[in-house]
Amino acid sequence: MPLNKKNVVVYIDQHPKTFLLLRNAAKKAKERNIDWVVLYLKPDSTLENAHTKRLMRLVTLAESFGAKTQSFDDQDAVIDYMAYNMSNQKIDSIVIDQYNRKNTFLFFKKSFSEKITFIAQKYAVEVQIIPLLGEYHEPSFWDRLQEKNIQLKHILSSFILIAFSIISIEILISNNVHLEVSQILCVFLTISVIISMRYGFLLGVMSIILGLYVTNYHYMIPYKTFNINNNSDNFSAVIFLISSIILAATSAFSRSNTMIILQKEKRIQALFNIQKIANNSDNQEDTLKLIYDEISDLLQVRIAFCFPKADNQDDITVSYPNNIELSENDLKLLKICWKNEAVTGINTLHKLRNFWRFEPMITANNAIGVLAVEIPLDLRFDASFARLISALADQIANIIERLELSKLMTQNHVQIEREKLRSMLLSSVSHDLKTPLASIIGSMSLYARLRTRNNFTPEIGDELVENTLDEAQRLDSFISNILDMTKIESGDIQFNQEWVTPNIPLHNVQKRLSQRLRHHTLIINNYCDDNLQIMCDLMMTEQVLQNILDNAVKYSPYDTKIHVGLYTDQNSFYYSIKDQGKGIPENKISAIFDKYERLKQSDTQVAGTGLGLAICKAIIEKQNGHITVHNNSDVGAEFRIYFNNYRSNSDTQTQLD
Amino acid sequence: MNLKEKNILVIDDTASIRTFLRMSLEAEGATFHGAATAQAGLDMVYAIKPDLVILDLGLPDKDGVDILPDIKNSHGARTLPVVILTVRKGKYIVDNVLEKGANAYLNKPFIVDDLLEVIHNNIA
Repeated sequence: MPLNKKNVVVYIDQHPKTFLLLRNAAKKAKERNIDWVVLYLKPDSTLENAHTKRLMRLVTLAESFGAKTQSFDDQDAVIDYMAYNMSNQKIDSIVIDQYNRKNTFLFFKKSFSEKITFIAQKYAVEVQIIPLLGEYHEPSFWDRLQEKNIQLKHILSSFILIAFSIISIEILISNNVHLEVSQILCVFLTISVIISMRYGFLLGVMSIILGLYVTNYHYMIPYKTFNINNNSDNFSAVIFLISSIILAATSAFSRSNTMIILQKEKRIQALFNIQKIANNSDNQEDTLKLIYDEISDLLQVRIAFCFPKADNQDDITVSYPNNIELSENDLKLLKICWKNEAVTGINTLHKLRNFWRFEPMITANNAIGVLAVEIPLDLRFDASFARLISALADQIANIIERLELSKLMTQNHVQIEREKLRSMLLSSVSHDLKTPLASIIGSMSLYARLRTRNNFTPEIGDELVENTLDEAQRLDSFISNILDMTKIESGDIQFNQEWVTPNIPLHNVQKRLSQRLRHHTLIINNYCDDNLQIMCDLMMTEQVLQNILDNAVKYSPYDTKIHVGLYTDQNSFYYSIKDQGKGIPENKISAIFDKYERLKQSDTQVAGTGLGLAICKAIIEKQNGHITVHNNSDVGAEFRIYFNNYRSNSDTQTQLD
Repeated sequence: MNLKEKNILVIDDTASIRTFLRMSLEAEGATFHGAATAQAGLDMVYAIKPDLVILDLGLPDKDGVDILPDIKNSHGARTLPVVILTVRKGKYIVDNVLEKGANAYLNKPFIVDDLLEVIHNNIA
């Protein structure tokens, strides 16, 4: 389908970093306020793998960002499409990857990107080629031959080995052992293979040459010259040279293969460890620290994570570790890396005199930050190192993005749960406040209505007044409970601890609840010394006693007894409140002190938000005590309120905690 | 107003509300029946066949709205009037209960006179 407006055109493929092209094109289109089009090759329908899936995901992503997309059968079709639209002036600019030329014998075919550039030049259309790092090239033959830089100690060791072989030969000769030239050459052959295996091909070659020199000079006729008169010796020398070089190359090659495999394994292990770290932690800071350690260990160089500043997303700075000082040039390159989403620094197209390499950490959806790697001068920076850094940057970007998303999700979740709970609580509280009010208003309106009738008796009036007072007291309790719970939860509550004689709060509560207790018999027994005192907050303790006594009234039938006892055992003082009700169902005992847990019985329904016991527990625990409950062996339940801090108010104070 | 010989069932979990409702209804000559749970209330609807039911919504075992259709369909008698008495407010709630067959809806807290007027308007 031809384009009808000026567009930015981007061609993507199955390269793992192709999303960088997409981001670039999207940015361009936004800046220039024009549309953009994504071109791609239709994946083979019989072959579906991670790469094709990724490509299609990117296509969908582009569409969701408002791009048009178009698939093609092959690259030639793409070129035709571009050429056609360029000739109609419908293309503003093109974004593609850098494709390498393919060598066919001695003819160089233009690469895909070169063909497009060629056509674009004709129509003066801008083409931006973004080389995507990370394509895998096997190390070349020469790379394999030389794995490590040559070190002084290797040279010395080679010399020592050669010297050792010379000495051994001399020893044998001095012991009248007759050695042929070929045998001597074999010794040096062996030594050179050993040296190649240990120190690389170049040193192996050096030892070969040295060995041949020594043999020629000392052991071949004529002695002490470099001439070789003997044809047999010549032959030996030539065979020696050929075979030793081949052997040296082979052993160096095999050694470096082993090193490469070990290194690959180490890197894969590191990438795996990093992924494991990411999976096991949900805290971004900790994860970053662990990943930092892992990568520093792997790369053996200094690295740093750089993130955009909180107040200005366009500006970036070194975030972790924070004791890293970058040179001016390095800082410049860091900022360019972030701005252009391109690799800068050592061994890139963007470089100044600097010491670091900056790799952008980007996912398809977000730009996360920059991974900075310090490249020391003696480090051999090769393609595999570059690939590794690129892979690490990608991985970390994805990990951070995932951590952010999961944090957001948790926050949302917590928010939703909190809202739900708050809503439930509000309805429950509203219900519990309005119900006693309904009784009060109902009873008093009835009183007003009936008072003027001639069948109105004082008993009717008394009953209505009682009803009203009861409910008013209940309302008061509810409101206090809710206020207290709010204060306790927000830590607002002040405890004024003082020494108190325990029967005082008990008597105060008894007075206050006299109306509520009128249908029950309250029996108080004090089994402690008269001069016993407990350390507590008087008002709070009264509140707890009131709540528990109120419960006892609610849950036991009229005309039963409520026993309150004051006891001490080894470590503490406690109040015991026993009722003669039905007791508490076994399956509810453990949750009885939880918030909002209501006790439901079949015929005497009691209202209550269920905060009462939770508040008691909170208050007593804040005073270093505890509350327990259990069912009595005969009938009813017993609550015990323990205070750990008590004394006899005489000359000697005993504080037990 | 005379509710003589009328049986009125009050289904409400709060004892003090049943108390003053009992007193108001008996003062008008009605016979009061009370239930504290949805199940007990439903049983009494079948047993007594009241002339009117006053139903609270916030019951401990089941929501009052859930047993409303059962009450209306008891005895196949569509004429059993039900008055909803509840703390809950809102147009949605009102519409919901009216849809399910409630005859009238009264918010708590209320004054007795209003309730008696509603009963008078709806009783068979």
